[in-house]
Amino acid sequence: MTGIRLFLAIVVAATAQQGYAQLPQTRISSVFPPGGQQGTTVDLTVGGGTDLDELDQMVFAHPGITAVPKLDASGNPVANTFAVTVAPDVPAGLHDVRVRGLFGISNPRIFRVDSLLEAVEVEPNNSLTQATPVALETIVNARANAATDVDFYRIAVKAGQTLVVRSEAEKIDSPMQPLLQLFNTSGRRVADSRRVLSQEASIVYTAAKDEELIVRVQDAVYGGGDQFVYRLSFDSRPLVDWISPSFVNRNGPTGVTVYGRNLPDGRPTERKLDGQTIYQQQMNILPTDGRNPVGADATAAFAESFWWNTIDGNLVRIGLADASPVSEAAETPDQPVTLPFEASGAFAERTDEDVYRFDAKKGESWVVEVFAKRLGSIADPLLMIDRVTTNADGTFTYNRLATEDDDKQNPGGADLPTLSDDPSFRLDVPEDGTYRIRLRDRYGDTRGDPRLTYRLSVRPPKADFSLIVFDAFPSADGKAPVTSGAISLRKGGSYELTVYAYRRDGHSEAIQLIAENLPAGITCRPSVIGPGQTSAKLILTASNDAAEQILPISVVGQSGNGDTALKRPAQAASLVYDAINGLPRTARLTESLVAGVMKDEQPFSIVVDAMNAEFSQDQQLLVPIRIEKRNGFDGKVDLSFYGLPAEVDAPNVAIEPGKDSVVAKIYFKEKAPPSTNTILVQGTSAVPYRRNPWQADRAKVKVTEADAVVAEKQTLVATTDAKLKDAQQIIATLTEQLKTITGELAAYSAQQQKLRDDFAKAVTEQQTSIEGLAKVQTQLAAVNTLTGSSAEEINGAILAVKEASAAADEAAKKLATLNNAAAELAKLAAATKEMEASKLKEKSDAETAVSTMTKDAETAQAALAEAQKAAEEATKSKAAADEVLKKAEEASKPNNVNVRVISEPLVITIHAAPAKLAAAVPDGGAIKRGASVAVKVTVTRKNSFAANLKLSLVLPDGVTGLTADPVDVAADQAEGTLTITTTADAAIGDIANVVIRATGEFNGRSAATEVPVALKIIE
Amino acid sequence: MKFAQCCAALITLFAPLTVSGSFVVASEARVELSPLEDSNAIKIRSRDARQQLIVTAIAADGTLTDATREATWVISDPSVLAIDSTGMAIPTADGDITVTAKVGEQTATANVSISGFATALPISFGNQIVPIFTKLGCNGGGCHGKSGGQNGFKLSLLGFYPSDDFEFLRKESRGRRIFPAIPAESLLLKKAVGRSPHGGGKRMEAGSYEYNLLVQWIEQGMPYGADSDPFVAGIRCVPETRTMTQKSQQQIAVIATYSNGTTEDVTRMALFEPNEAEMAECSTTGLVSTLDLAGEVAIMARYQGQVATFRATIPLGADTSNMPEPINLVDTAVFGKLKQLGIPASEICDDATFLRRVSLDIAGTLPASEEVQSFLADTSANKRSLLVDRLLDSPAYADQFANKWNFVLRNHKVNGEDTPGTMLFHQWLWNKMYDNTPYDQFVREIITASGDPQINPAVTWYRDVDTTEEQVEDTAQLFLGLRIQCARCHHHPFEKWSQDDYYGMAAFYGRVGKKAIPNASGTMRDRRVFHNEGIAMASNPRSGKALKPTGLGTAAYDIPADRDPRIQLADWMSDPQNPFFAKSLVNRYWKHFFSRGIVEPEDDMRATNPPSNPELLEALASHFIQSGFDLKDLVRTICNSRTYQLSALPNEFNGNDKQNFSRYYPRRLSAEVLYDAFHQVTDTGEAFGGMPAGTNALQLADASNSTYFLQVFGQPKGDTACECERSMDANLAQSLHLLNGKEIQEKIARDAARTARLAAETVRPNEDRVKELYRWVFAREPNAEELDVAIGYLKSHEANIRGGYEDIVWALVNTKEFQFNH
Repeated sequence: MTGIRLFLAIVVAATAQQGYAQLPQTRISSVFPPGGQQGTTVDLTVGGGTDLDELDQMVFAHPGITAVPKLDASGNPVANTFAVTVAPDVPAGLHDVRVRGLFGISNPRIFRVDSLLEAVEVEPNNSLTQATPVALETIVNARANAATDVDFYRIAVKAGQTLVVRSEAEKIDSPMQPLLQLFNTSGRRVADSRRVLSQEASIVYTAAKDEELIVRVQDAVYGGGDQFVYRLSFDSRPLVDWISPSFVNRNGPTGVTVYGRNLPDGRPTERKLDGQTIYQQQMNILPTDGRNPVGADATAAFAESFWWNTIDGNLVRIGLADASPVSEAAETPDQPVTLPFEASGAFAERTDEDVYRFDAKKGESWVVEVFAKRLGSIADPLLMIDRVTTNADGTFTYNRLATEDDDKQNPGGADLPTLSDDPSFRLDVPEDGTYRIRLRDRYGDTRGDPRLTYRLSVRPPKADFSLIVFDAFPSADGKAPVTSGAISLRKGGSYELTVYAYRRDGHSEAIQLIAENLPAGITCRPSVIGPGQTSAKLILTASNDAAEQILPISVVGQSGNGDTALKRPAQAASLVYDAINGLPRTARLTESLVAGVMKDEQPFSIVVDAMNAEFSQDQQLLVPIRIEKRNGFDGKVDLSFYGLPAEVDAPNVAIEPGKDSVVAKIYFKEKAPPSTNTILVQGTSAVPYRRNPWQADRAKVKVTEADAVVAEKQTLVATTDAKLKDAQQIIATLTEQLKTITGELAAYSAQQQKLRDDFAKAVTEQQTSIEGLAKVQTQLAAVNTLTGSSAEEINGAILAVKEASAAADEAAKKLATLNNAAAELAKLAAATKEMEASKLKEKSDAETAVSTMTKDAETAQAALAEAQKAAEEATKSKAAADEVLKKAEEASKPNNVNVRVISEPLVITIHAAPAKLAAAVPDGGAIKRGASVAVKVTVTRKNSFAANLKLSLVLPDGVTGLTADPVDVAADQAEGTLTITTTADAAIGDIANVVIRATGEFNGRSAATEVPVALKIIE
Repeated sequence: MKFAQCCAALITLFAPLTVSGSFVVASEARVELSPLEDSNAIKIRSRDARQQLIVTAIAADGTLTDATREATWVISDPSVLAIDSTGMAIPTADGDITVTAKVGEQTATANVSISGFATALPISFGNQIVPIFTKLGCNGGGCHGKSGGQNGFKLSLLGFYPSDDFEFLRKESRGRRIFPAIPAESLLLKKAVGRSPHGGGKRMEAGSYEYNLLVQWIEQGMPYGADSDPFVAGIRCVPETRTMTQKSQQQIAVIATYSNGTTEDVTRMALFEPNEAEMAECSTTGLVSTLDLAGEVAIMARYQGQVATFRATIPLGADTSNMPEPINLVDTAVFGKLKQLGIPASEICDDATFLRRVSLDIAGTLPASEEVQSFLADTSANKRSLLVDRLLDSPAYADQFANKWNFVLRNHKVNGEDTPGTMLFHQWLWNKMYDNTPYDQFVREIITASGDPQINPAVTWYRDVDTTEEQVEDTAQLFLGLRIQCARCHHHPFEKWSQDDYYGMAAFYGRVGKKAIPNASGTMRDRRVFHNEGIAMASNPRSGKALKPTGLGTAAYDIPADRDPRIQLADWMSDPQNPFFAKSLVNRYWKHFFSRGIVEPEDDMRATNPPSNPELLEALASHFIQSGFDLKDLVRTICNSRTYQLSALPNEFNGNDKQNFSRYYPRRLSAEVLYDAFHQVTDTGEAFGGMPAGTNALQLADASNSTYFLQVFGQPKGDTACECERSMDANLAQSLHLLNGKEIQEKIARDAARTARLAAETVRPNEDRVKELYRWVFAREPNAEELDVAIGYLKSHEANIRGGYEDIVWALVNTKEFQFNH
């Protein structure tokens, strides 16, 4: 691919992405670990999702579970993580958890609370040798991290011990289909189990000897990802397989038999499951023994039920009925019953068929309804109803009245999966006689399992309905299926919620929908599910100044008035996942419906006045539409109607930049079906949206702060540097002084040396003199000893003595001089020494001063380095702050997002028209200013209408300059003439949306019908 | 597709046959003349009839030889009958005469009664004219018999619908094909004798028997015959069996029996086809010539939708007194047959060969080096059977057989959203194999599969086997060993199965309902299968007849509207009396271990394709039934037999044996097994998309994440129910890939590969390391010469010892010994 082509491809891709982008909204795909033990605190992390900016709150539906942001060692919050505390009294079971962030409150995910110790798998545990060791009575929270992840666990068991290994995935919003395989020490697989739709995988194993077992877990179809979480318990708790009956009487205790494995209080039965004996145990269950069916498949909204977990570790869904089930007559092929009745059964064996025989009278009506999937069973019941006649020979003839397989109602359509396999039939008894109901599993010739349970309800028809509100995130274009989400309103914004009605026993009245418990700042106009219809939208609107808060709200529906009114709360449901890995699109019930307002503003909103109006076919509705713009938005807004019935003419309109209103037309054509409709105005525009501008603002502040720090540090560097320089100057001066002193000292030293040399010389001379003197004295002494010697000798000696004496005198004189000189020199030397000592002192002082100053300089140097480092760091911080700002600015740069905004609803009822009008406008509608024309209106009455009609001219708002007096068309007439008169100053040009209206009393109301006329004022 | 295959098979029937060989007359004790009707008479019932006579010389030791062409004939009244040198008798007038055949000194005489000559009966179009078209190949699938006809002229395939042919001939194209005024000028005849241009060439001679019959028919005004005319109810070959020597000849006659009980010789109108073209040939006149090989051969004769066979046993006659002692029913049957044929079996193979062979066959893996050592060192007498037990108990056994079933059950994904179903179905199969679910139960769970594929993955079978036709045909082919496809559109050409039989089977599947999985995507191919309440019926599209569910060869079943007829189908199939079910499976498994079915191909079992060893098939099937359809037991029985443990090396007699199992027939490892073996040897692996690390090729859920290696070595895609989709052929691409393929080179040379590890060792001498390699590759120790060569090579590569090891591994994996199981 060439560079240019590559570039183009990127541009196209980027543009396309922009086209589908939506305003951000916090949504989560998983939390991990997906559960916790009662009475403990656990760190919970959001596993994945979209728009997880600045998550600051984790919200649990149960008040006993609380969360605070998780802080790291330095006290900073750890992203997307919360420390969650589960109070000891929080019931074991399923609880909704949501998070809140900058972009509002998220959809819920399940947080499972249980009684056992919890652990988290340790990756890598992808092979036998890496198996995570687990102790008995532990629940491991784990995940198939990627498509090929396989997890191994190792557990030791004792001889005779029963180990129950069970996984939970379906219950905790996971699309994982765990496949559990248990291997013994010799590598032989001894048990395996796989999640099958709503039936979680479980293995019960009784060890014959002490051994170490390996459990291998994988997704059965090798799926993986953050959402593929599972919980795996290794325990010795009982495993409940099924309960019979599968529902209880809402009015009191119902005796049931619990069937399961490892039931310590149970009696063994003949039956086995996966090779393990099934035990049974009698118990009483009260309707108040359980919790709401949060987490149950969305179809559970159409059958009352609750979670029962009296036996620890087991969550079993139990139905609720107005009566106790008839007891099953053993071994009776046709069980005789009297109407009405409730029955509970199961397709326990292959070819199992349950037959209920009863008498009924002609004209009676009975509703026969079977519940299976709606109560969590994977049976697919087939319902057959026969009339039984007894022949003369005592044999019977059966005439089939009905064969029903699956539920025909699917109010949720493609959005909210509510299809079930549960059949029902309204039996209008044709003759007095005996009838029978036959129930079998659709696949009964090939399977039988006591867990294929059903509830059969036969009752008189009682029109009623159930409501389900889908807590979901509308798609960008409003057409593609919704995704998981929650009611997160922008300031000034709106949020659309769809409410679905499941109607029973022929209920078809209109259902008024009201949102209740709305927080301040949020409003919601009532809406209507029209007669016979199955859904309508509720629009919640936030005011511009709505507080950023999260509160539970509720939706109720009411049909009829007064004593016969039926008021039903809507159950909330949330999407779990779209079709994935062979599992269908799945939605579940949630604990509550929560509405929140976020900090962000909606770029524009559409305002239409409330209307609850009635119209006839052939009538025109002009809707003034206004938009409120925010945050500098001024783009073009394309408008269209949403929820229109068939056979209407409603051209799309747009509000151009700079404008803020338009009038749109809906013309209900002649064949528009009489109906009540919730009509919305939908506006779309490409909005230059700034995501999280506050982040950029905060970053800017940080940059400014960093700038200040840099400046401060730089100043510090400067002052420190100056100090250093001063010290260095002083050191230089002192050093110079020291040099001088040293010079002087050297001079002294030289001088002293000279003195010492002179002195030494003097001393040497003294010595020589002394030695000369001694020699002379010796000579003298020698002469003295010459007595007796010759005269010559004596004369010689006398001469010698004389000479010697003279020399001695000479020498003594010289010595004296020398002694004086030496004494002089010694004096001089003493003086010089003194001088030197004084200079030395001076030097020492100077040296001390240098040393001190050097130390100062060193300190100054260090301070400077520090200051420089600080300055450098400050610069770095500043650069980082700049980077953050740049990123924040990049992120919050206006980016075109296709924003779809919905108005509050208009509730419009269309009635049959009393007549059809035809207007003959002369000259193609052209009327001269100041002139009049006569318009002949032909009236064709219909729908059995036969009374008077009054004709009038109806002008759109703001149109003046023409009038027409109303004209009566008597009951026996079919024609009237309306004279239209224009004023002389009427504006020249076409006049749009003018109609001639006929009104009359029809079916107890003032009915009207219209015909559009094209008029034009000319000169 | 299936139709085309079926018809392609037909085309080959018309390949020219040649007769060769010579005949030596043994000294006969007596001769016999056949075929005789009751009371020693031969009856010729019309002017157009002919009679093939067969003279059999019976030696003193009871040996029978064909002397037809050596016989001289004495006819009591030569004006009534003429006999040619091939033994064909042609009537010339009515009369009762005697015919005497003389061979050497021996004679045999029979009465011949000729009637219907003087008063020519109207020709029956269906019984006389249509067979001409069949014999001459006019109505074959490659010619006018194909569905659109040929050059504007259409005939029903093999003449199964004479009334159609009658219309086509007389009326189509404004009747231009026949010129009643001058029959010889009819386009039909002019083209067939080559007087007018004919794309199919000259098919007959003017004046031939067939020509004359056609002329007569036109002269007679082209009669059709009455609906009440007798029709052919069956045919038989005379003789039905015979022991022949190599390069000998035997004339056979084909006798048709009509619905009115009369018989007629149709030898010259019948078509002949040997099941083993290497063993025997058969002329258009029914003269069988054996070739060089010994063994069993069958000649199929077809006439008017009926089939019969002539089976010849051709003994080799070698000394078989040194055969191993049979130790189970397999040996009894195989060795019994070998003795009968005089083919001595090879020796019992050595332990190393057995270890490698059985590991590859049962588990699809090579034995590890340490296993080789310990097995060879093991001195216990029953170590081979213990090994078989161990392998059967291993997950690899389930890998191997789940893979086998997975493909023929056509489990494969087409779209991404098929993946879960494909994986679950494969897992389901694996579980069935691992848990050793009885075969009848296994098949029952597949063909009666109902419900959501998430709950019951066997339902996935119905995803690709989507139509009733595919369900019938796959059921027949997979579980009954019958290819019944042909009967969808016309009578089965080589079998007795008619369209009624086909649609009687189809009725079992007529109430299979499919409904969407709730809330699933609309494009999902996975559906929920259920029994759609109602009386199960299927209609024969030709006759419009509504047929109740009927097992092949059973009476129709009355199944209530609210019961799933597939249950009855499963009941019929798994009934111990069912003639196809157990045989089909044991034959399929036999082929897995011996490369060749007792009936070959393994899923085309029919009277006209008889087993090479009927006693073996029978014994294995009844043992299988008695074991409660225990698949592991079957494998055990096969692998513990001495037959299975025979050496692949032929002795001087059995080199040519390809069907009597006198030795183990070597075969190339299948794509997956070879790939895994290569990875075992090199201690490397392939990362298959979407599968966990360590997954081997045999464990894949389908062929969608296949590799070039697997494709080139013939891994199937799971498109058909036929094991033949897996190509076991050798081709150049395979050799090139193993020799030069980047993948092979790269894996051998990986840093983590066994080569690098061996090269890096410092303590063990090269000799030990080379020995270890040999154990991995061949499951044996190298011999002295091999060791010398290897050590020498390593020595010369001391500077690059790793390269030396890589070269050795490369050389070893390129040997046939590695690539074959032997």
